[in-house]
Amino acid sequence: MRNIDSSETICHMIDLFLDNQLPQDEKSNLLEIMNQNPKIQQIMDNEINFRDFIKNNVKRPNVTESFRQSLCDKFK
Amino acid sequence: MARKTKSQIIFETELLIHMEALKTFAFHLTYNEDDADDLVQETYMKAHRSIDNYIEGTNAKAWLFKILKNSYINEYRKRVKQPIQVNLEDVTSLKSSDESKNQTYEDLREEIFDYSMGDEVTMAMMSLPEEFREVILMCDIENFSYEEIAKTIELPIGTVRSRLFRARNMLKEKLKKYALDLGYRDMRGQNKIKNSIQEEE
Repeated sequence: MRNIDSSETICHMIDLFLDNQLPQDEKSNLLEIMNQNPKIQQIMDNEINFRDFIKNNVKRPNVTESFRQSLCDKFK
Repeated sequence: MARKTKSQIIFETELLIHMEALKTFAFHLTYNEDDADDLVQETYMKAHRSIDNYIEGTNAKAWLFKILKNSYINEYRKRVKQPIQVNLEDVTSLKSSDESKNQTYEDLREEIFDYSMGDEVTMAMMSLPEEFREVILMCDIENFSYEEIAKTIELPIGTVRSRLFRARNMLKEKLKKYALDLGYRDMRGQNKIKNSIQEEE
């Protein structure tokens, strides 16, 4: 199990937790630490907000119907 | 009406549904909608030619992203590095045509307008080096797992993990003001958490 003794380790763990890459025992460990320290819970919330902000604001150009249709026609 | 082959059915049901995601990925590699469309089209052409290599029900999205990324590296990047070939006749006709001149002006204005609409995230993404941009796009926008990203861009998982960590930090730096407005406080690289833990104790 990782030794949680630095801010960088906690940030890494929060990243891995949100990316669903943290093993179960470390997940439980992190959740326990968060319960004990609301500041770490706040960092987690901030990270979630930041990711949502990126996801909701990144430019997603439209696929036009004519482009979709012409592509589909090529494979008929 | 001709009956569809199994390959056609797979193509339509498993591959074509990822067109929007591919377009977003292609756009953030090229930052040009026409080039993004060309890349998406090229990706589907290649996927169609190699459909026999695709196993039904497996990860079509990752497979398509890999094809697109390879097309981008092997064809698009080479193409844009080539000096632009200019035909003298084209230049002459462009100069003599007011209509064409206005069109060029309008296109340029539209491009500037596109990037001054407060699209801070796009601008910030654009300023990241490509290798950092692509991991953010795959993980945070398209929800790929580390393993899928590693396979797609052919890197060890550890490199994907550290690249993502750095990429997010770079993006936060670029978006600091907007992030602060949203209530985000960047505590990375500082001793604040450690101090706060000690304070609690």
